[in-house]
Amino acid sequence: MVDAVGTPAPGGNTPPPGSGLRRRHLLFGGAAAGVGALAAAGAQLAGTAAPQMQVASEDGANGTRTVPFYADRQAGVGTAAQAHGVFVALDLKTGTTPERLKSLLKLLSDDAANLTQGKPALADTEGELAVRPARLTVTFGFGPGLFRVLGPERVQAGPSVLPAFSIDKLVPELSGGDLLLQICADDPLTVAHAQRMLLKDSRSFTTVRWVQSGFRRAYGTEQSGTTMRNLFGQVDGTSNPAPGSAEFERVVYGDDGMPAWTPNGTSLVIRRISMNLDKWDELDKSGREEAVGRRLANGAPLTGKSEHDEPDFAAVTPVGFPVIADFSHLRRARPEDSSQRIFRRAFNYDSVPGPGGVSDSGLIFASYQADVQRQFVPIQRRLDELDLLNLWTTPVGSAVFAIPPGCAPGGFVGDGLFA
Amino acid sequence: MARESLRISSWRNPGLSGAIPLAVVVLCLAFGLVAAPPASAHDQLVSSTPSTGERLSAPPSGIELKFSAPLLTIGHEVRVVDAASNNWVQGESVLDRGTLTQPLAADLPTGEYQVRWRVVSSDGHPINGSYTFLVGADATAGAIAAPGNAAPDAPAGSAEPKEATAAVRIPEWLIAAALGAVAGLALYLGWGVFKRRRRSGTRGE
Repeated sequence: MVDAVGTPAPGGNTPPPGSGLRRRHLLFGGAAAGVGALAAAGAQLAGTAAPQMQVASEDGANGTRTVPFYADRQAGVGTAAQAHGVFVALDLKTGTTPERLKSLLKLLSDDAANLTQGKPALADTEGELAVRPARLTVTFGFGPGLFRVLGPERVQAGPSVLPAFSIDKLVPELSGGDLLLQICADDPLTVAHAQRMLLKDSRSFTTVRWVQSGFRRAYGTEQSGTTMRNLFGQVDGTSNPAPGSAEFERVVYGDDGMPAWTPNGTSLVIRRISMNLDKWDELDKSGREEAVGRRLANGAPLTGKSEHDEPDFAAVTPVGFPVIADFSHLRRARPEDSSQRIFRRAFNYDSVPGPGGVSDSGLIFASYQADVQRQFVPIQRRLDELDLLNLWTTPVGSAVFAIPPGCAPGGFVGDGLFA
Repeated sequence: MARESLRISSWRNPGLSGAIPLAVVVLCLAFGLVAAPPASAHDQLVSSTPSTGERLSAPPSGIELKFSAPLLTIGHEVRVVDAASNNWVQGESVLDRGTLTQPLAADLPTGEYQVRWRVVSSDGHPINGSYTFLVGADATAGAIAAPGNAAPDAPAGSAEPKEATAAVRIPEWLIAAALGAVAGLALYLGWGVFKRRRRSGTRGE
C-alpha cells in the first residue's frame, strides 16, 4: 500500500486530470473569492464608518460632571435627560408627624446635595462610589399622603388625582406613593449608590412602595439633544418644548393664566406603559408608521421630511383619506388648544418576563406640567377615546406628584411648606 | 496548434467548472439575503356589493364590503362620491366583524359613483381602497376624477413608494463583497493562466 502510494505515477510529474485537481481549484477559487469579498466589504464598511467616528471622551471626564443641587428650582426637570433613571415611590409610615417629615426631608436633601456634587452621603459606607456623580440629579416629588401629614388644609395644594381611563389596567403596586425620589445619572452604578444611600437614610421613616428603573441611550452613544427612542423603535418626544425656551417655562412652571401649585414648582405624572413587543412584531413598517403618524427612520411626520417638520393634517392619500390618520397617535395627542402641552422626560424599561413570556418592556412615561388637570388630562382623555397605538400599549402604573421648588444652601427641599 | 488547444482546454476545465459555479452561489446568496420582501399579514377586501364596475338598474340603499378577517373596530370610513365630489353616504359605516356596511341616501341619481373605503386591519395596519359602480342604463364610466394626485384605483399605501424601494435596497457592503468575490476569483484564474502559460513556455524552450 505504502509502495503504491509512494510510486510516482507513470508520466513523471504531469498532474493527472480529474477530480483531485478540480477539487483543488474549487477550494482555492472559493478561497480567493471569499478573501476578495471580505476585503472589499471590510474596506467599504471601514470607509463609511470612519468619517462618522467621533469617539466620546474616554478620559472619564463625564463621570466628574455635576449638576448644581441648590437652586430656585429642583434639578432633573430641565436638565438634559441622563442615560439612567430610577423612580422610587415611598410611603410615609403610619403616624408620621410634620416634625418627623421635616427631619426626613432635611436628611435626604443633605444626602442629595452631597451625592450630586460627588461627595459621600452622611455615613456613606461606599463613599468611593460617590466620586463619580456623572450628572447625578435627585428630584423630590410630594404625593397626596405627604400633604395629609402636613395638615388637612394643605391637601388642596397637593397633586391632583387623575380620572379613571378606560385603557388603564393599573396595578396598585406600581401606582401612587407619598414621596418620590427621581434619581438620574449617566452612570448606572452612580444611580444605584445614590438610591441605596437615600433609601438607607429613609428606612426608619418610610417603606418602599415601588421602584421603576429605566434607561435611554448610554452617554456618548448619540449626539446629546437627540430625541430619545422607545423600545418600539419610535422617536419619542419630538414635540417637547426645549428647556430654556419661553414655551418650556410656560408649560412646566406655568404663567399668570395657568400657574403651577407654587412658584418654581411643577407637577409630575408618571405612567408605566407596558408595550406589547410581541404583538408589535406582527405589524410591518408602514403599519407602524401609520399607527403613530411618523416615520420610524427619523421621526418625521408622514407628510414631512425631517423630525421637526409641522405635520400636515389636511394632506390626503390617493383614495382621499388623511395621510396622518385621525386615529394615529400624533393626531390624537396633538392639542386643539395650545395650553394643553406637556414636557416629557421618559425612560425605557425592560423587565423580567412573566411565566411563558419573552418580554416585559415598556416606557416609564414621565410628564412635567404646571397644571395636571388642564394640561395632561385633556391629552390623555383624547388618547383614551381613540388612539391606534392603544392596541399595543397598556398603562399599568400611575402616580402624580407635586414637585416643590429647589432650596438654598442650609435649607431643604420642601422647606417652604414648613414656614 | 495542438499545444494551444490543449492549454485552453486544461485551463477551462478545472478553472471554470470549479470556481465559476461557486461565484454564482456566492452572488445568489448575497442578493437573495436582501431581496426577500417583508411579511405582510393585512386583511384584504374579498368582495363588495355592488361589485367593481357593476351597473345597477336601481339605486342601491347601501354598500357592503367583506374583508378576509374581522377588522379592528376603529378607523373605518366609507365615502361614496359622484363626479361632482358629492358624498352620498348617510350616517356612519357599521362594522360587524369582517363586514362593513354603509347606508346611502335614498334615490341616487343616474351616474357613476366611486366607493372610497378605509379600515384598520386586524393586525393594526390601516388599509384603504376604492372602486366605481354605475347606476342606470345611461350612466357612463370614467367621469370621476381621482381625489388625490394618483389614479383612483391606486392600492393602499401607494402614497409611499419609498417603502417598496427601501425593502429591496442592497447594503453597500454587500455589493462590495460581491464585487470583491468576483475580483478575487478573476485574480485566481488570471494567476492560473499566467502560471500555466509560463510553465508551457519554459517547456517549449
